[in-house]
Amino acid sequence: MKIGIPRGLMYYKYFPFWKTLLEDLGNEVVVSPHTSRRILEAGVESCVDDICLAVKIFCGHVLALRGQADCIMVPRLVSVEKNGHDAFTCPKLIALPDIARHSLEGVPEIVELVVDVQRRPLWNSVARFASNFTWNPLSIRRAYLHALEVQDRYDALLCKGFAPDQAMKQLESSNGNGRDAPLPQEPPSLCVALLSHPYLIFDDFLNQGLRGMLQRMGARVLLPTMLDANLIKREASCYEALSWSYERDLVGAASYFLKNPEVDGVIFLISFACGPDSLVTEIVMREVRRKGDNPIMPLVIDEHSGTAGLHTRVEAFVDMVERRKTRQVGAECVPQGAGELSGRASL
Amino acid sequence: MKITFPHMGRAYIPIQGLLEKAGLETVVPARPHRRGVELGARYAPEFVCLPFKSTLGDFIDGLEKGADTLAMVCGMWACRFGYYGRVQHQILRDLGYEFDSILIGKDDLMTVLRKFISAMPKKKRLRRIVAAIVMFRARARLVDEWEWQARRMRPVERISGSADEVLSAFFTRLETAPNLRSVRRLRREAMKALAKVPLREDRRPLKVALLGEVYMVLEPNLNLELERGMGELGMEVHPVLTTYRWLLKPFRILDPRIELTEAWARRVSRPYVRYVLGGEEHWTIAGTIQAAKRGYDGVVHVYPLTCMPENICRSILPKVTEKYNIPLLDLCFDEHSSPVGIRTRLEAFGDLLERRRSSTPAAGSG
Repeated sequence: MKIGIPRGLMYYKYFPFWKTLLEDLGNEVVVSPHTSRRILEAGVESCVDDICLAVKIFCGHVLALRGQADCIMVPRLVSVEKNGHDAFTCPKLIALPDIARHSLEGVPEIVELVVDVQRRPLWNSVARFASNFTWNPLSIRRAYLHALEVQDRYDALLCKGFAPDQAMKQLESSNGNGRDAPLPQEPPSLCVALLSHPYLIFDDFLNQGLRGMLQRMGARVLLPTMLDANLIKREASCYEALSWSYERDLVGAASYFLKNPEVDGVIFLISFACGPDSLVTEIVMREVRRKGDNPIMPLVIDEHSGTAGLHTRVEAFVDMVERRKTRQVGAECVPQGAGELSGRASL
Repeated sequence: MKITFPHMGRAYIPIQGLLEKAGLETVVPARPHRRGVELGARYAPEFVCLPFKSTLGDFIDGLEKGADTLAMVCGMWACRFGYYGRVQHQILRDLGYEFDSILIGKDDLMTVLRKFISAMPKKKRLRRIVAAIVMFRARARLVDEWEWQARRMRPVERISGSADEVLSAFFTRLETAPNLRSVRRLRREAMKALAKVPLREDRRPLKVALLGEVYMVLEPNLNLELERGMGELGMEVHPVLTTYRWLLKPFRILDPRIELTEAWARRVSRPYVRYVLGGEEHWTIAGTIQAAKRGYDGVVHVYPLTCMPENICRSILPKVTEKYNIPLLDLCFDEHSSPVGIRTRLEAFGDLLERRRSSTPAAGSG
């Protein structure tokens, strides 16, 4: 069977898992093309006005798969961790298959992978999902274990700083355990952390190439995906618990970025009308910022953002961060000249 | 300890009764609170939902009037409501207010109760608590009864607004009713007064279900007196959620109907929304289906801008209304909504329903 996977939302986090699982079960996987103006417009047209941008784009991707696949897999992520207290994801992720099924026209059958770790283990959910494709529990088990392993390797690659596309290519080309080519990195003059969800960071159409923009301005970009999961958990536990899993990770990453002296500035990327982030922004700006003193800028994007506006703001922020840094370095190790950054070692 | 709490429709009347009967001092934020909404919108995050802004404004107003304790209910599940209290109180502390906060539903129940009880006068505590609960229930029921009466009378009264005029005086008197006897007396008097309101018997009002986000349905200041406006246009409003229901939901043991209908709504809406989202999504879907089955003329769906559960419902509702063949009007509110815009849309919707009814004489039964 040909199964379509929309390139949106949690694609950037879990795609290798889904793909390996589906392919091992004897299916062909089709991914929708990279986000483009057409996909965005299709999504905006078919969605409610004030739902968040990421969901609109996701719907655009689902629509782009019309006629390309026999059915479309839409994940329903209800809860993704079990930690003794309430944990779930955003309501839109919980209801994603409902939205796709009932509000989009002419979409092929939607198969949903329900992940509700609070209620049943991941293996059970996968087995239930896979029984759509095969009756053989042994092959399901084998596919599941393989998929988990691939996902682990993928996460490790992301942790090293690969973008999802590169990481997926690596996984495919060398079966994952070949050369671990380090990322081409510019001399780290300036380090800007980009704090956001993976679907905003890695969708270069949606964020108008923000990562590239920062790199061209001479900054090294640090992402939450590059942080160790345990580190994020530890940082997040300093604050009152949030029940949204992904947002709690954001708070943890924010806390690390804001405190870490190696980070020069933090850009908090938010998509307009994102429900949880409207409050998480406040929590980050009011509670987390108190404990660290790195500069932070919230940056809201919507479907109308012009590139120039975004560019100006990012440029101004980078300039400010740069100036702040040279002043700090100048103050700490006096005679070394503004341009030299050996001050970093002493920090 | 002077407690203040945010407004939600007329819920303040029973809540005030509860707290005052228990011997606590309360501060009720100003009403109508357009200023509260503006204040809230100034300090709240940009695209948070409207109830957040409105309740934040209420807190500010209460604090300005000398309250020193803020009480707030915290929801569960994935809706933003669960974090209202936490973020609002942080914002207020950053603004320089000093207060004690009681987050009901998030803090441990015993700690909340202990806080309340320690603030009560020392003598006859148990008696006070019982009296407070009795008062709470009596007032909640009476408010509910009057609101239903107003909904039934508005579309058929001869002079538009006369029932509301009568009732608003009684609501003000109920706020200060000191004991059960006076509550009962008010009820009798109101019945007599309402019986005198001239009605048009010949008119058959349109039956319209009102559903959506509970706060927007219940709070007349935010939905720009929607119920009243609809009534004046000749629609008999049937809200799926009422203040009474919302107030008694935590004490569902007191009223088994609440639990039963809740389960029913989940069951009916399951084909459309499979999982609990934390808002009123099951009521929105189930209410629409129910309205169609009971032969209502239409459905009005209200929600605040960017509300997560209701946005999902709104994506799904067209399918539901198509299947059950019932007209639907979506109204999305934010702090800028103007009464005229809403009125125009309601009028058009009313005309549509009127015409639909006259073209299908046997009123559509789904």
